[in-house]
Amino acid sequence: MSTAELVISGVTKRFGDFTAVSNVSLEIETGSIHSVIGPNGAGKTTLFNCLSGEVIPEQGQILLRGRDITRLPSHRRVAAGVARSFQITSLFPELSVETNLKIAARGRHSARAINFWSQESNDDEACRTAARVMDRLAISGLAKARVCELSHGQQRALEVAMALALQPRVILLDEPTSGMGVDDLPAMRKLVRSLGGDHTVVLVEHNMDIVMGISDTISVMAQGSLLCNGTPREVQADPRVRDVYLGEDQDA
Amino acid sequence: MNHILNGPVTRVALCSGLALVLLPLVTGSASMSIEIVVFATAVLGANLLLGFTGLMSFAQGAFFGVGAYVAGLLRVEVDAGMLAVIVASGLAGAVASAVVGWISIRRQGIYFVMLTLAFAQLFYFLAYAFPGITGGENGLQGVSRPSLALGPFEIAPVTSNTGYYIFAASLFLILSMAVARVIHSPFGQVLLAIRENERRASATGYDVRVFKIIAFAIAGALAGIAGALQAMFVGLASISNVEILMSQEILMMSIIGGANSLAGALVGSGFVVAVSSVLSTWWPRWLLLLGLILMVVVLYFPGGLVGAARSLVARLKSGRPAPSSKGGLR
Amino acid sequence: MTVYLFQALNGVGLGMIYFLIAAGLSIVFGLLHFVNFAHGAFYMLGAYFCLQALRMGLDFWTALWLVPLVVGGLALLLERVLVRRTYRMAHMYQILITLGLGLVIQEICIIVWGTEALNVSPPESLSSVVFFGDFGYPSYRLFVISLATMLTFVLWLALEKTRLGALLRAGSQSVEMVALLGVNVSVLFAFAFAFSAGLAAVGGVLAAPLRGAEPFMAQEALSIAFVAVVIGGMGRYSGALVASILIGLTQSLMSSLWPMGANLMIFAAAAAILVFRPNGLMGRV
Repeated sequence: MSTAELVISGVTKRFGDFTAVSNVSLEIETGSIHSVIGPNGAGKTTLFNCLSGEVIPEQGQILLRGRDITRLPSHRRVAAGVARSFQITSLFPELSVETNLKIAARGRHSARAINFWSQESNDDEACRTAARVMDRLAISGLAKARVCELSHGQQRALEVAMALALQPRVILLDEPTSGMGVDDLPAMRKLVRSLGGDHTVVLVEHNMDIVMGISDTISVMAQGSLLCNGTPREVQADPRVRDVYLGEDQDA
Repeated sequence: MNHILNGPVTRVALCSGLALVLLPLVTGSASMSIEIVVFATAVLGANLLLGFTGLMSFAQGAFFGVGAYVAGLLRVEVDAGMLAVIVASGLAGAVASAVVGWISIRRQGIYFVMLTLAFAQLFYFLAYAFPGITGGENGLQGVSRPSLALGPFEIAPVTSNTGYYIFAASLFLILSMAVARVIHSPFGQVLLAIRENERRASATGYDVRVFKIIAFAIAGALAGIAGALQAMFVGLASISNVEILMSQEILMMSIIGGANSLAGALVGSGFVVAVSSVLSTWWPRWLLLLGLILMVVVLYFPGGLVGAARSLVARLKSGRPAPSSKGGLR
Repeated sequence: MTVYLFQALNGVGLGMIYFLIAAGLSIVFGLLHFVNFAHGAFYMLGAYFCLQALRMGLDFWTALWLVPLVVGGLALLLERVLVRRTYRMAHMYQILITLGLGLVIQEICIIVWGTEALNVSPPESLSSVVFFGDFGYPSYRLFVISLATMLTFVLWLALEKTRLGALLRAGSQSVEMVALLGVNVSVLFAFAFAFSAGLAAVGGVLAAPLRGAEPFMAQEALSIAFVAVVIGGMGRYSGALVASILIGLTQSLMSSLWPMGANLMIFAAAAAILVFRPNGLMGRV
């Protein structure tokens, strides 16, 4: 029996006639940072959505520390310890940063939120979690600002913060640097790297500098299948990976 | 420690309380004031659904009607006391609304709205089709007001309009404070989250369906209580309560007042009732003006009258245009 | 037996009129993704303008083509001035604005023509009864069925076989693509809106001698049109046609037995379909 945090075995997802993910199996160790890369249309996002619960695979299994979460709806995965960020920033725009995070903080035990009586301003626990997360991401100064007033880079940071506020074991990051300017990249890279150890991080990313620099293990996908899986060095050396990324150029 | 009169709830109590005291003095009419408070109660529910949860339901009128019928039946058949009538109509509204909500939220966007519309129509035709229960076209007649008495002490002489206003206004005040408390609770925060970004709310661990259905139930309870108040006020549970026009008027009051503010309920209701009252004496086609006002508000003042007032105040304070605010709590 | 045949034919005629209204709604929702709660008002204006035209001495046949043009023109004006501002808004705001608009139009009609239902006589040439053996059926109703069927066929032809129709269909899939093809999307939208209003107005003109003109016909027509489009499936004209005829038949056949029951069934069916088959009986998206 595997001791890995996440065990993905034989996962297949079809949309009508199109097979987006085909028989993917891999294991992700606890506390590691694992990246999933591949050209567009490789099935990375679908695999990611299978992990986060937005999509249920037809076949296969996803085990979280031995617990089968394959068919668990996304809102219940949070309680199981899985949190995700979105590639296209998806926050609560009219609410303040602090409110966003407090709502997230309560999400871990969502049933307790069916509480009409106590006043949220008295919710010390959520306040503390939010404060802690803002501190970690160095956005404490933005606490009262409304999300719609933040810059894109600040919003991307908040995306990660929202996942952290759920106090998860597994953090799924969907292209965290998407649309970010060059100046904000080093901070994000440092942030994602710091998440390892305490959390298991699964990252879908196109920025190779970050992927190669911070990942413990990398999966390369192409056309729905897992091409190869290994350390950054192993993956860089694999000729099949080069083919998949550079193949079209060579043919032309 | 959760003191019952903390910040926002106290504010609501004071503002509403003041408004409710001034209302009959400003309008000069107890009956108009009663109408305003009655509809404000229904609009409170509409605001909770629309302004705070982002759900536009065309069925509030149906639950208003349900509450009226329940109150009418209890008064006419069983001579039930005030507490029983209010509680029962609130419960009936809540249950009906929860069922409609549970089915309607299975679809999103325009399909959701149309489902609520279809249900509203359904309630209307049901009311028409069972005149034995509802009195059909003529409605349930002879709905009297039960006395509000604790033993030999009469709390308020509800048979007079003034007394009834005191009762209705007090009930509205209590309900407003309760809704304020709900809005500022963890539950209320989730409703805001659903309004802002349902997908994110779900990804944050909340089963949004459960929260939406509860919101529906609360809104339905408010509408039901409003309906009961109406029936006891006019002495009749009319079929016009379940007409689509009623749902539309409640929605209009909500939008014109400001759907995302609790104050908007009283403001919207007050504005529409007062305008229609004043206008209908010398121009029966006041609905035309209402339609125009609705269009203007949606185009230029999405926060309603309350939103516009807040922007004005913010602008005056800072001396420059305030950022546009769709509302929500900080 | 003949009573049922009579009712059934009435139902078909009614259904065809409902389809003219529903088709317009479907075009506007399909292409513009715009929910028009004032759509029923165009149907109502069709009936009222027909009445007015007859009062002003025009004959029915003139009204039949003139009124839809006038209503279409009015719709075009409304689109330019008001409706196009709402395309970027959330559906919720579109609903509210068109709700207000519908109310305003309804009230204006009341101001001009009063609250009572007004009768409109069918044209002289169609006031007779046509006999099929022993079975007699009013010629006007027969005309309604024939004309509406013809219009439906023409509509189908236009949508399937003409370039404009192709643009409308393509546009309902992707407005961006159509714009990239060099089509002036703004003009297309305006045309679609005006055209759908004109269709509804034809329905109004046809309905006027059958049901008269009264201010609340807009609401009723809108509800039925929504139900027809939902049951048939948004964007599926064949579905809307079948649904419209079914609704007309239900209302007509049950009118002597239990009129309210008809509406009950119709809305219950609509709710059920919205829940279980949101793409309608035959819809795609």
